Amino acid sequence: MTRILVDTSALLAFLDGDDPRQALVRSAFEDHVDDELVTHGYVVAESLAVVRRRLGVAGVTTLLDDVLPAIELLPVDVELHLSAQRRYRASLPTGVSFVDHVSLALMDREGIRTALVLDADFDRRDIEIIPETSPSPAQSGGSAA
Amino acid sequence: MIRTQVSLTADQMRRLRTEARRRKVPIAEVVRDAIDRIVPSDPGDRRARHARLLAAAGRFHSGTGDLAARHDEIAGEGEW
Repeated sequence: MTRILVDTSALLAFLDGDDPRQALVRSAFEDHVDDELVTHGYVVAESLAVVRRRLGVAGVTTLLDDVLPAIELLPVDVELHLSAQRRYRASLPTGVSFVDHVSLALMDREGIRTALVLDADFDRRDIEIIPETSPSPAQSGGSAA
Repeated sequence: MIRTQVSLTADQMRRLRTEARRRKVPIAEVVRDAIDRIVPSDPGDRRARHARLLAAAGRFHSGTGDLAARHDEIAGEGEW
């Protein structure tokens, strides 16, 4: 059983029928039914913010009631938070978001080597990204959350 | 939480301590994680949760299709 970190971008593309990579993400979830899907609270907070704004309360309740129960929530303790904060500070002014730094620090701590993600920030030699897809222009251009 | 007592070999204890140090968590957390991996929760429950997740695929339509690509910007637009 492989542990797979699920990122905000994958959750959003999965829910949004208009996302051009929605089918790819859905297939990735289908292909890994026997693996252990994990995420953390910062991804949940970020996803809730975007879903509430763009998909409304129905989107939020679907995320909370139907999607997240299938994904294990891993704790982010103070030490991990501060480690991510240091990485984020050192990486400025690149566009890698703080939430992505938390995800990467969590993957390092837990020895997780696979991520379900559509975000170019995870493009690291030691991380296998699923689904295999090139990042969208908006992603590769960087962002600053 | 239920307290219990378990006897380990010296080598198992050494490996457990090493892993706990690597993760920077208590030894008990490594033990709990190992149990969850070896004896996962009811597979039927897991599959039911996964099926419910899959049923939500593409349920909504943003009209823009850019939520995943621009989520950093969108998250900063309004109230959390």
